[in-house]
Amino acid sequence: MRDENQLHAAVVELVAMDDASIKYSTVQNWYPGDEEGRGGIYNFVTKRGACRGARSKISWTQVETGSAITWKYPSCILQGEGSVGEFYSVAVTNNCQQADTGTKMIHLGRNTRSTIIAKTISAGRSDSTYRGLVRVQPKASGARNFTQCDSLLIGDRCGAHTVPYIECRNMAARVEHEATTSKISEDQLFYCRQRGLSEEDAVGLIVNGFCRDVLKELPMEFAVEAQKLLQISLEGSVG
Amino acid sequence: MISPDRNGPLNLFTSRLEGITGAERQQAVAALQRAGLPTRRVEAWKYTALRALGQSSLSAPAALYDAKAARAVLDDVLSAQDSLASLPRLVFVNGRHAPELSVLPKAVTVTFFADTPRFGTAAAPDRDPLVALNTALAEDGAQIQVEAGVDGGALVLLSIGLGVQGSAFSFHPRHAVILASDARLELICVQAGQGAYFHNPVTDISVGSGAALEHVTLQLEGAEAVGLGTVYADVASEGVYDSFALGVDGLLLRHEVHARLGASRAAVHVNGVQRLGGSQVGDMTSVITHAAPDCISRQTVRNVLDGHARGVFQGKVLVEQIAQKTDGYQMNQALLLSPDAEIDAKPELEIYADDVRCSHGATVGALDDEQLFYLRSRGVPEAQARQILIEAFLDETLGLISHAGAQALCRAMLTRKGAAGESA
Amino acid sequence: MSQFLEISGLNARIDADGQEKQILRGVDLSIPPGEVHVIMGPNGSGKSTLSYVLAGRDDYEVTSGSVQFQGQDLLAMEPEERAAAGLFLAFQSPVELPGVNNANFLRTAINAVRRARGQEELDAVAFLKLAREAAKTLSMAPDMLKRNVNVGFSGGEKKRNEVLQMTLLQPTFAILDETDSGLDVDALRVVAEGVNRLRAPTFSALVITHHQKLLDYLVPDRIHVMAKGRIILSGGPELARQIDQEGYAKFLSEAA
Repeated sequence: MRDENQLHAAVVELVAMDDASIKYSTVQNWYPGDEEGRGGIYNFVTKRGACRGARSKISWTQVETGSAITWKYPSCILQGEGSVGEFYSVAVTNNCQQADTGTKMIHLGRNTRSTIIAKTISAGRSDSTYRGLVRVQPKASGARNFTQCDSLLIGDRCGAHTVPYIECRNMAARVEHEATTSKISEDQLFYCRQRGLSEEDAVGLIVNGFCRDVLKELPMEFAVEAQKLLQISLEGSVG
Repeated sequence: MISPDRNGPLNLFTSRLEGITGAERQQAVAALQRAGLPTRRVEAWKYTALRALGQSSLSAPAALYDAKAARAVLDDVLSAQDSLASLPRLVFVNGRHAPELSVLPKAVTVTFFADTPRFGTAAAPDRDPLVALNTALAEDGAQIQVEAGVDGGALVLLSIGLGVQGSAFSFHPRHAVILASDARLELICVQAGQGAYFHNPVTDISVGSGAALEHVTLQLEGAEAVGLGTVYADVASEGVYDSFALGVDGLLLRHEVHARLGASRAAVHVNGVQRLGGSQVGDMTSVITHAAPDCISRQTVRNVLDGHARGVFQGKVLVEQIAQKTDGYQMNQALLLSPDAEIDAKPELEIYADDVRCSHGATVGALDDEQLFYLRSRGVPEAQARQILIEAFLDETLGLISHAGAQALCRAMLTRKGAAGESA
Repeated sequence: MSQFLEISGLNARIDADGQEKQILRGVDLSIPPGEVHVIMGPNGSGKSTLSYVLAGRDDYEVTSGSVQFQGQDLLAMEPEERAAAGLFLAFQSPVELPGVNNANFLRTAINAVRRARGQEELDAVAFLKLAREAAKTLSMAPDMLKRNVNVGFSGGEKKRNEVLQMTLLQPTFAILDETDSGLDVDALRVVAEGVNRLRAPTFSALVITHHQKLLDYLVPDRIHVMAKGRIILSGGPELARQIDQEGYAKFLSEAA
């Protein structure tokens, strides 16, 4: 049973009317398969949100640590004037996992705002991709987007990829995208170990620091769980 | 059977692709028949359609051209920046070398594709359909070679396109630039013209170890013309390929660079500026491959878009597993001057090495109202204030052009475009 | 009882850009308990390398020699084991940890060390009380505990943060690697007082510095001069003053 793959194909749709606000948080820890990539869940999920009403808000927060393959792009269609879309994501892959995740922010209405913070951590032989779209349509005057994608690589056999699409058809809009790729530096690890932390604890601390901007968006009890999950997912990835 | 839906506008070339001889050319034709010319369903052409090529079959250009018109284009370019007049130049008209307009260089060796056709090694007709089209139809081109340790100085490569009323044609020059180790060259490619035509050059560049090539390309094509250029650059250890492209005139422009850092401590710069208006579409696409450790890549592209213009930026930085200690930076910024202008950007990082520093950024926005107001409150008329802020936005990027004459020519062409835009 | 810290015949090299470079060439040094020793010496003499080797940085390969620390083979221990055993290194350039809250980092470190020493861990309330008091003593802004470790800290703030960590981790042996560099007089005093507060018959320190000024506050027991990877001269506190006035050149030529 564990050598086989299972498919999880859920659909989630959110609609927010005037002044309504929805926060949808996910911590995903499906079986990722074994170290050789045998077995595991295919996690292909459709999630979309419509901010129909004025000043409505949809906020997606996700922590993806499990599944053999994850494909997931929660979207926000920002139709209502002054509506807000948010996407906060942490994706951790280890061994042979693949995570391809991101969001679509479609700005239709005036003064709509979106924020995207995506953190990916790759270890082992895994691949992690941020793939996302920010589109500003001609009527979305005053639209604002800010996107920050950061990748952390642990080991030299993994991959980290960033594929943003930015389409802007309105001069009175402002779109900003930033992305960085880095690894945990030897200096950081040594500094923590000199202060008495074990190597695994040091990695856990640094990774949690790297993900802080996303983890703080989770409800408290989820956040504690997510922090532990991150550390467990990366067990054995260093040294 | 070639269908426009599956093969794109390949049917415009049907008759010219028949009966082609030579192994390379036949392979290119076979690749074209398999893949066709790109439609927007092809990821690399997602934002740029070839509809601008029109409906009529594109023939080869006529053997004779209007000598007076060609001379006028040449004079126009030289008058914009007269320091260029003293430089050696290779002039092509509608894709063929025009010896009567050229001044051959002394320090570098130049041969012509028409005499000794060589396709080079870097180009990938299998992967890039427009390169396959060039390979199938190439007639002429400059092959520029600089010997080891030689400073070749500056050289102008001027491609003039002269549209002819009632005639639809295309030309596909095949250029090559080879710098042996520790050689240097500043190559200023000016693509200028008038009317309608399709210019599809492919340039195959090899930068030897310790060599340095500065390559400035100005796209000043005819108002109804389509200019789609592809550059392949292979850079050896400690070599530098420093490229700058300026997109200004033409109906549809695309400048595509594939740069490969093949040995350690090599560097590439793939910079550019697009200043478009009307219903122009300009596309700057690049793939920078880090295939060796300790290499540096830098990319800054700025777009100023007015009218109904659409700017496209696609920049991919690929870091292979072997390419540890890679230092990569990429920035794309756009200024939208009109409610109908559009920018589509896809900055892309694909990274398989862990000890790397790679970052990219993209911004889109309008002119800053506060800055505009500040200038106007000091008595600067609005049009001039806008022009000052646009120039300021582009200034730093233009400063990346090392060759003073080339930089001055780019600035002159931008000023001209700005003046035309404001009066329109 | 054996010496508190006993370094003998220590040789170490670094592999930089594929080239091996010998940096320590037979360092002999012993520090008894309760003493503050100083290492001075020109740039590139191996002072920082010695501190890294003692703290266990694995970029350096120890090719021969031994280090006994309170009866244990120091070189056989992991960096965190050395920390738990009471060794503290104040870094010349403290490392930034983006997103890692300073207070959280300190508490994690203290509890890791306490756990290893068989002491009870501190809860959040007890820790914060302790940390705030220590920060106050060091005249640090209260918000420094909330900020990310060393991120955006000025040079002086980073050094104070090192002293804060030292105060809270209660080491038995502290190495200060040019902790005084780039500090003004007030900050210098804070660093010296931090060390002086820890002084006890069971606490020793090794201070790497270029400047006499710090030593005015610290009152060291022994001065060692290091050059070309070895200790070439040792003496009392007067040696530091002599170097301050006359420079290294005289001593280097005498040793050669």
